[in-house]
Amino acid sequence: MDTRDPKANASKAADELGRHQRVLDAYLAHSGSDPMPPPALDAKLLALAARAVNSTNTVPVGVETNFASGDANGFRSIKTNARARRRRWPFALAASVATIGFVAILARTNFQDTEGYGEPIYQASKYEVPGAAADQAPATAPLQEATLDSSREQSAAASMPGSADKAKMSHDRTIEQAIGRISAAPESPAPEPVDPETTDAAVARPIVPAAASAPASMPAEESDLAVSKLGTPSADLQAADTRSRRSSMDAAPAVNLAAENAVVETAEAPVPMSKTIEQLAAAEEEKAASTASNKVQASQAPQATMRSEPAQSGASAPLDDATKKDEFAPDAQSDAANPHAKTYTAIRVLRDSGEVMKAGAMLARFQKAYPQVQLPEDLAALAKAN
Amino acid sequence: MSLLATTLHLYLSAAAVLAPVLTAASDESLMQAYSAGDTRAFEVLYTRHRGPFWRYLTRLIGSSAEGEELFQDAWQRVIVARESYVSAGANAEATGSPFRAWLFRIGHNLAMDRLRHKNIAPESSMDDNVLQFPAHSDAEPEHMSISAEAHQRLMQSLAELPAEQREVVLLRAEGELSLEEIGVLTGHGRETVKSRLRYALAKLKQSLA
Repeated sequence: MDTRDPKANASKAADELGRHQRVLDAYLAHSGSDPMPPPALDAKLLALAARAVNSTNTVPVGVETNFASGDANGFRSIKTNARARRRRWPFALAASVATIGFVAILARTNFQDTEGYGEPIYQASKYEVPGAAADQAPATAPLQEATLDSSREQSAAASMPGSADKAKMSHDRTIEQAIGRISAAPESPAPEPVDPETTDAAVARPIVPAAASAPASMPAEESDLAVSKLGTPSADLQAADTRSRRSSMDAAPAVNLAAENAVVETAEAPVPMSKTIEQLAAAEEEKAASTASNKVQASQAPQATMRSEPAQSGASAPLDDATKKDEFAPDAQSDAANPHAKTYTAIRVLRDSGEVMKAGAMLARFQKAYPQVQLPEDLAALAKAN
Repeated sequence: MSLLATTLHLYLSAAAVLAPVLTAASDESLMQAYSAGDTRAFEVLYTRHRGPFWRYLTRLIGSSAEGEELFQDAWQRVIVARESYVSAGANAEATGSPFRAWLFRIGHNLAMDRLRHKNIAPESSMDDNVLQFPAHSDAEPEHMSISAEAHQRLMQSLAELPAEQREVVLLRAEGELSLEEIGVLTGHGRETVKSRLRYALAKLKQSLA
């Protein structure tokens, strides 16, 4: 462009603009002026504009976000959400209460029945019944322990590799022994009918004379089995509440023994508990006598047990060799050809149920008592292994 | 009954009187009326600018679907910002910042944001909806076929233009903005806009020849 002649430059620019305008006119003529937005979009935008003007004072905070995003139902959706929140709170409250209650029940159950390692622990104070049942509450403690020991043995046997059949056999043997023991024991009078109005199971147990339910001549192997079922006497003595037991036995020994025998007949663990309790008490007294220097206390201890079991007053003394020898003595119902079959069975039961140490100890005592007896092969192998 | 008839008659008379008034009003006065609560003013304003603004956006983006979204977003911004426009541009007509330039500036910003967000250049080809030539019922078939062919060639040339040149052409042709307004809108000087427009129109002329 020539800048020296303004007129020429102006005319040239006008020509250029004229040419541009002609091109633009041609563009407009050929491009068409009809392309328009769809009618639905027109209606939506017009409705949006009208609503924005009419609802300026009622727009809640933040509604511009929905409004700007093209949501024509922004106002209604926000109101709907607020209304839904108002309606949901009762359900949320009910769900919260139910959850808290469920957790509380779970926590209470777990903390009440377990202690430390998840195993239920019996505590006499928890199960003592005020009033008449107070005397019987301690008597149930060894029974529960015996039941738990039996279940532990069975669970231990079941946990051994390929021991499902072993556990079943052990269980069956235990039941058979219980049946044999019950049939061999002197007949006790039938339990008295339970008062239906009495709801406490401890109070409802029948009261049986002590002399009938606690035979003086209990087979020695039963006591050994019972002791073995309960574990070592010292361990059980530590676990038991001996003071409460002694006081309850002094107060009403007949009631305790009868209750124990009545329960033993129906309990899962077929172990006569009266004998076990007597032996535990005797061992406890023995321990007390050996540690205490007071001779008077040592002499008074057997007297307490003599009340409940006068025929076995000697049991309160230390278990000497003669006593151990008598525990394997064949009874009247033993087979003449194999008088120690029950002893063998007891040892096998202990061995099969995983109590190999106890079985070995029992076998050692038996060999010491009867050194001339020829052991079966399996028991001989067990003795050799020990 | 007579009262109702009288009221209806007065309303119809007022509407008949006000309709031409609104139609003849400037964009800025219509915007002020809409900001005051008159929705009919917005209808007039919208009807006046909907076609050019629609063509500007769809031909700038090259896609009718995205152009529709931008069109909707731009008008929603106009609705939301009606009061700020009125307070800031009370004398917009006198200061050279008319409503049309403001509307196209909103559309330009939205289009640039969309292209920047997608990190792509404007489409070098337009979809069928943009290329489609409007049919006139009263047009002769021969003339319509020739126009359709010329329209398609024009749109194809427009799509092949660089983005800056294309936008200048659209703002000049559809928005009827001056070179100064285009320069303010795009952020470039007047001569730059003029140069771009000259190159773009030369290419379009070749396609129409």
